[in-house]
Amino acid sequence: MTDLTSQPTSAPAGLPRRAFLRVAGASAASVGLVLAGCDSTDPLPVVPVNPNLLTLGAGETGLLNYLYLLEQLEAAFYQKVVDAPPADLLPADKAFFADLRDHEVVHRESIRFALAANAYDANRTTPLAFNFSTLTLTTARGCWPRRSSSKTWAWRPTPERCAW
Amino acid sequence: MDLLKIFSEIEKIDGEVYERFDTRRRVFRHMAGLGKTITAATMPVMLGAMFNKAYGQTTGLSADIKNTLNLALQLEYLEYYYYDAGLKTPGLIPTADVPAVTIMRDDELGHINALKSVLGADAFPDPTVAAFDYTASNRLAPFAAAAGYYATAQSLEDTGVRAYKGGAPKLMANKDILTAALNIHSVEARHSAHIRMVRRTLAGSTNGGDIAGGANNQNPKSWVSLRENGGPVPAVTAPIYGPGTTTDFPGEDNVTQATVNVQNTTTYPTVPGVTLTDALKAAAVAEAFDEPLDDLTVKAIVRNFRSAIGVGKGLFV
Repeated sequence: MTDLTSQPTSAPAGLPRRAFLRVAGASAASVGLVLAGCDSTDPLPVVPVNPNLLTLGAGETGLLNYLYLLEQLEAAFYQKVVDAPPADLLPADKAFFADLRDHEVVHRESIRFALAANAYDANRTTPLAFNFSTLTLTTARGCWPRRSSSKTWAWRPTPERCAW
Repeated sequence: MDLLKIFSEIEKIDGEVYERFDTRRRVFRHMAGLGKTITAATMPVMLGAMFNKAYGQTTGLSADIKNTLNLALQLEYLEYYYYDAGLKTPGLIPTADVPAVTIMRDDELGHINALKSVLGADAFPDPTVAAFDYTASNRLAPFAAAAGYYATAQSLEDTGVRAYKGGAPKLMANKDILTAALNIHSVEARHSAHIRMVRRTLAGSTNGGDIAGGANNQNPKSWVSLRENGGPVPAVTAPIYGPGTTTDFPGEDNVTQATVNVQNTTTYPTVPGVTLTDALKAAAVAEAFDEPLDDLTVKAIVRNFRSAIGVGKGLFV
């Protein structure tokens, strides 16, 4: 195995591990993942037989597929809110979600373009579906991040909610 | 605020700067962890410890490094005195937002103290508020009303964000420094988003902002949109959103990323009741990517804010 400690400028060894943990957490609601990007020196993995396993690939492809998956998740979330906005969502907030959806779609499509045939879902007939059923998206409060404490948020008021 | 730029400038002068830092990786692990919650209290300690460990003692700094750090110090003074002057102008800043502006001012003070601790006796002397002309030769009115105050604040923050991004490629040789700098970089962008929200609130906006900030950039989105119609006062602020000195630094309305026109790669969602025009697509694509700015252009922008006294003291040369 390569001695990474003697090569401080080589590929960041810690990132894939974090990436793995975060992707694994994000996927818990719907799918299991095989993440082969944990070590760039690993050989390309065998395509899994289980249709519920995703292969992100190794090295740069693996990282891009990881980012692609995250962008898909973000775009899907904002699209869900835009498709069925809560009744109490303010007009400005709706505009925010539409803009954010647009941005994430652009990011998603840009990364997919870069990946081309290497996209993890290039051969899937239907795109991956995300499960947001654990979230309360029928109220504006459910769509925006919760305020953990008033002090924390005092200098970062929720958009368009200033009292003045 | 220009920490990333500091590193890139030092790299030009001291090619071994990363090796110096790399042998003290623990310092940067600490710094990376702090990135999301850097405060006025932690910043000076962090930066001071970092440079002291890297160079042993401040007297070991070369003249060129001192000059580089002193330029950054002058930028911090520019920002600190801007926020401080706003807080000292009765009734200017809405009461609800005084805590936010106070935090931003204290952040700048933390940066000043950090740089001073590194430079010691060689630090550029405190130029005082008299060295700065925040009206940019009577072209801006930052202290007459809140709208003008936040307009200039947005200009300063947006300049800083682009300056950080412009230096990022030069930091890629050291991932610890890059990570730390990008952590700070994103915090600056959040400051700008906050200021933009305040500007909309002051304008009575209820639509979340217009493309390019609408007429006279009075209704900005929380993110940079096209060239922001030249910003609040185009005569002064247009360069903040325009291109840099080379093609590596396109304007903020750029839609080409990695040599590809992103408009052509993107499948746009259908928007009920909205006809998606090419102009809307261009705006969405431009907003989805921010652009870096080179240090020459950054310096040209901030020279607008020198008073005659500041010129005499050699600010931003």
